[in-house]
Amino acid sequence: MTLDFSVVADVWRALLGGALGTMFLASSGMALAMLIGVLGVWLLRGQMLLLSFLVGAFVEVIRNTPFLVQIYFVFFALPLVGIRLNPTATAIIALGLNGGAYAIEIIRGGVESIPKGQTEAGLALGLHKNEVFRFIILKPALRAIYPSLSSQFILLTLTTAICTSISAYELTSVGQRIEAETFRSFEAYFTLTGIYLVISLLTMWFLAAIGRRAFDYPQR
Amino acid sequence: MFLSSFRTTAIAAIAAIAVFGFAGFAPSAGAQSVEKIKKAGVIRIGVMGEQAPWGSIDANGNFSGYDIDVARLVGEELGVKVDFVPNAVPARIPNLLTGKVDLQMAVMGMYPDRAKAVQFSKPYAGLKIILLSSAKNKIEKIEDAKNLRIGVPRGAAQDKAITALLGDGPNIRRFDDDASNMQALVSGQVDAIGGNTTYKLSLDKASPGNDYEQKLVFNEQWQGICTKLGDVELNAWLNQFIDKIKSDGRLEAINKKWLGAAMPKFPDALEGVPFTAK
Repeated sequence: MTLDFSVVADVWRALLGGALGTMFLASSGMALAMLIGVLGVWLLRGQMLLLSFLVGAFVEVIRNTPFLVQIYFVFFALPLVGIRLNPTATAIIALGLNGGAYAIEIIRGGVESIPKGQTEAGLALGLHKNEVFRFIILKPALRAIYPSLSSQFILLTLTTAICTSISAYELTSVGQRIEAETFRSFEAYFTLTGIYLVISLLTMWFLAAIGRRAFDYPQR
Repeated sequence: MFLSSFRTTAIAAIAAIAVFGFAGFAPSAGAQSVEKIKKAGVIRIGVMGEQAPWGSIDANGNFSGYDIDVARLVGEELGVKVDFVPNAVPARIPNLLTGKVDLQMAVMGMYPDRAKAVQFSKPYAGLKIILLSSAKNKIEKIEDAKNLRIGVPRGAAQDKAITALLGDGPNIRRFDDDASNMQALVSGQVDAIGGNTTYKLSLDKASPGNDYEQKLVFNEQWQGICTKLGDVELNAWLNQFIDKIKSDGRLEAINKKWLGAAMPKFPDALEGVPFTAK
């Protein structure tokens, strides 16, 4: 078997478009996941028992079911109850929900690591409950768990490949089309592997840069 | 907090070498022959796992369908056990080329572009590639479907036909297999789907009382048994096998059983698709 990478080079525009599609899905999914993560932890710690129970149930359901089933559910099953979303919106919501559930668990771990005395000190200084959560608990908690949150988000970036199953536009779907048209599986998938590696490294670097900026205040 | 940038770069470099290093070791699955298959006592045949009436898994977990019945005859004639390998539409040719199956009998339409990558036998089955949509949509020519969302199984004949006619665009939604394609129509995620004449059977099962109908016929498709290019002996054996089951009525019976129709008159030659290996 001879390798012929020219079939891949001919369609670099499509590959670039697919890579941008993947990065768009990944970054939108991360933003939604982060929102769900912080909101979820806030609700978990709140006084409303029903809401914190629902958040707990959400985390268990999402973390114990496959992503492919979740995205099929949003795409194929929700239309039966009248919620019909296009493939891109479906992908972002499914990625956000999935990443959000993991983010809740990770952030909760960070929040629980903050000693109680710190909260009490904040309250004693006259800060409002919400201000205490935001500045005294959440920020140091996020700093502590930022590395694990980052690797979860890298995982989310790679999970976008599954969105090809609902015909969303991203890198894997482009690769599969190249393969279907040229029957050159090795060339198509080796190229995809390389591009995914670059995207992951870029994401890692980008998240590290955000981390440095957001948490550069002194430790003590 | 993070790996130092030097370590990150070093790890990335090693990973890149590991990944691309393998490119040099692309498996070169050797030629398959009748003798090798007989010696192994088993033939691995790629089929569709969820495309009734061609190939699907029934309630008892057994493969059944038109392709399956013909494949069983292949095993019978060779005197070997048949190992069915279900594959997704886009994985059919890669599975054959990488030696995961010996033959592909998975509704493989005989088209010139595919004939460059695999060897087709004589046709043993046929169908029409069509556009299906609700009776409410008025589609008399392909241009009428320009603004509709059209689902297709990625890389299938209908994907090629519709993409060639309408041009590639975001309205063409590509799914992994026929089942997801049909599901997309049933759940309203697309307005029309490219399918074949046997889709209606499955659609009626999935959504009883639907108003989906055949709108356009893209082409008449013939299906052959695929082997790797250069498997001369296996291809010759398959051609004589197909002649045999055509003349002794066994293929006629399979047509009646699964398609409810008489065996079609198969063409003796197809432009750009040679039936015999060189």
